[in-house]
Amino acid sequence: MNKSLFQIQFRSLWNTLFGKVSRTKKRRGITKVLMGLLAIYVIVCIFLSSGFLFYEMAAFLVPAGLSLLYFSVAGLFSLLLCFIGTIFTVHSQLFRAKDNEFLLSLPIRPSSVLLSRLFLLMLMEVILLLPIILPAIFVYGAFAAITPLQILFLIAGCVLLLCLSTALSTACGWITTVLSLRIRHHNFITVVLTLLLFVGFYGAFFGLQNYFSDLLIHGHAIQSALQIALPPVYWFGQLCLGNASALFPLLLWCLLPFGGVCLLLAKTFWKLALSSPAPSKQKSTAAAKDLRSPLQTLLFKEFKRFFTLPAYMLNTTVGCIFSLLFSAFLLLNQNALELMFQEAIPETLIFPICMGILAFFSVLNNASSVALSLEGKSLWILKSMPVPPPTVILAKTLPSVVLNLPFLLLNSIVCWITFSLSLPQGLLLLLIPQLLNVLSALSGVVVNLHLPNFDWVNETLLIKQSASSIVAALSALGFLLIPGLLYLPLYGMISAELYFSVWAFLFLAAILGFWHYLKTRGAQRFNHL
Amino acid sequence: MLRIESLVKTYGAKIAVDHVSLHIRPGEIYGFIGHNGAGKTTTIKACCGILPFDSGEIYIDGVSIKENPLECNRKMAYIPDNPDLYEFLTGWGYLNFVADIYGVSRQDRQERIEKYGNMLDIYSSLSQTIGSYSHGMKQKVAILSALLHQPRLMILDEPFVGLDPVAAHTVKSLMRELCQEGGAIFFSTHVLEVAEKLCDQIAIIRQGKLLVSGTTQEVRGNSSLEEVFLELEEQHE
Repeated sequence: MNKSLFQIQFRSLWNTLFGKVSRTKKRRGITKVLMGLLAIYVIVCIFLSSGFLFYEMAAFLVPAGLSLLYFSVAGLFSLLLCFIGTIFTVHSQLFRAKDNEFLLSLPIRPSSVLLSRLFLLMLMEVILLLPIILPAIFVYGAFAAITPLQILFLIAGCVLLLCLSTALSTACGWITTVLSLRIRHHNFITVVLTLLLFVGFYGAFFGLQNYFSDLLIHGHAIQSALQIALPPVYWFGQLCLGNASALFPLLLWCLLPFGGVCLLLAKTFWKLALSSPAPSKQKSTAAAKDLRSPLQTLLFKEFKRFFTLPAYMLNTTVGCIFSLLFSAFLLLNQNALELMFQEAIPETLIFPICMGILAFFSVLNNASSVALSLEGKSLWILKSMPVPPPTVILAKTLPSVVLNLPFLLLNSIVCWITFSLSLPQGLLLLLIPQLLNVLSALSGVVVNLHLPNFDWVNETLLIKQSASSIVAALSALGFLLIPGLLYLPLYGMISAELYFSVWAFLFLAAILGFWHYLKTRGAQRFNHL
Repeated sequence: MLRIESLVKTYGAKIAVDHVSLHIRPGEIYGFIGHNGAGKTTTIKACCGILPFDSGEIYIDGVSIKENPLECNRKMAYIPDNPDLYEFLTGWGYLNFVADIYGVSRQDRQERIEKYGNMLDIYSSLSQTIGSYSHGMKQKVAILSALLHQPRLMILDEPFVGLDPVAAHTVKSLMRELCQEGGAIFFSTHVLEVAEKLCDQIAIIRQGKLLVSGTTQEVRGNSSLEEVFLELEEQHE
């Protein structure tokens, strides 16, 4: 029975990630090859970037006798990534999964349902942990010898860290669930808490360079402070160095919280999983509204969905958050920035750098990449209505564009003023991020039309980790990387204004191309969904 | 009102609907009966333009659904077997959404929502989000939304599932009312007693093929519809 439960959970994760392929619609060979190549490309990119980070650390820490610190940092990164990667999933996956009622109505012990869900959560954590631990160990091997015993201990340490991160994210999910049952405006609270976490995370991310410098300068002091400040990662580091005596304290630090959380869940899971959240107090909307056009009403519906799904809101507007933070940063640190740019960066690079940053923010948002999939089982409504498919597609594209527009506009204006850019530069800075904004929204819908998934159980997983959202994010990054990389060899040979003007035309052409495709082939594809 | 001509729909090697032809005239309630997986929902979805079909033709009020699906969709309303509506909208929000799509004026929609909402006993709950509704309440909202633009043709897949007896009775009265005003109803059901009492015409489908069709009297003869249905099932096993 437990085996069947695990299989179902695994299949659910698989279907959400890669979409359900029906027996009558097998993917074609070329699609399989392309998907495979894309997967390899993504994996290689992730492993390489992680590898470079660890190489820089190992090059300094290992020869300086700070191997313990090296493994502790690797452990800390793994723990944080697993925690952050699953914290938003726990609430929806564990307590608010749509099949909870069904499973709990079957003659299965709630603990089995719970275990199968925890198993899935840990499986997701393994996927997050591997890109940290594998490069870390390979890079370490290039600087020092590794014994088989160390490998064995490393595996044991990773399993224990997984237990700890599961315990931490599950505890947070439990708190969110309890709050959502008692507080009326739980959506608002969830958004605020998640935003705070986001700000904390990105604050730490941007400060990475400083922490890294501190690590190199105060390595010995940090290493000795770790035992008190972060005992689990300290003992993980010790274990990775082959110190068998570290196993017991690490077991205590990881298994005790895990056991505690399991106990808590065993006592409360049934009740929490079957309780309904406190209903939000609805404003009285008991009235017929004035007639709106189909596009207006479809847009209203899309925005309504956007603002009622915290996971959708937060996962698809990272660029907006970055934009806002960046604008605030520029406005608050104007003098420091001017000095920094005047001394360290040639003036001719300021405009391309600003362009790169803004372009990056504009391609980060991809609300359109799951907009069709989110229709789920209610797709019949759109398909049975007298609305042309291009109107539906436009309604799926526009929210992403509209949401990003003011943030990007603000960024462009702030950059223009802060760095005193010329008129052509300022205009290009206003135009290109918006063009990329439209382009990534359109490409998101194209990807979603080709990789739809309407059989989801958990919309958070769909938004965060479905094939459509991942492929759309990568293609949008391609729109940024291609002009960026091509500019490097041309730097100094061609004026930045001319170069980006050419790209503005190319982006415009791509937008028209995508829109033409969506209106013709895309509309046909929508009819066949 | 609805003419299905030699409809064929396949899923890979499986033939779900095999050369089915039906004709539903204005003023008729047409019942579509068959066992699970017989091809009822596939036929219904093809009629609504939701499911592309392999061959054949479907005309709504003389307009081909293949050539002009939007024009056809304007003339009809569809209610699926499972009312999966937008759970994040309130009842009012959903009804306003549907009314906007079909171009129903503010005054008309207010009157119709009030009239049908009270008849179906859902009016007072329309301010709640659909996510908090029971299956029956969702079904009532789906039926109410289908009536908003006063369609000429209603296509319903198992419309009585989840409805309480009073609401089921009201829906039957509304179906008859629509037919008396020149509209037509095409609906699938497993409840043979309902089909027998309500329908002017009946068609029985099995494994994608139409076994029998005609007026209710012609189909059942001197027996009950249940006996005829079971007899036909036995003959074809």
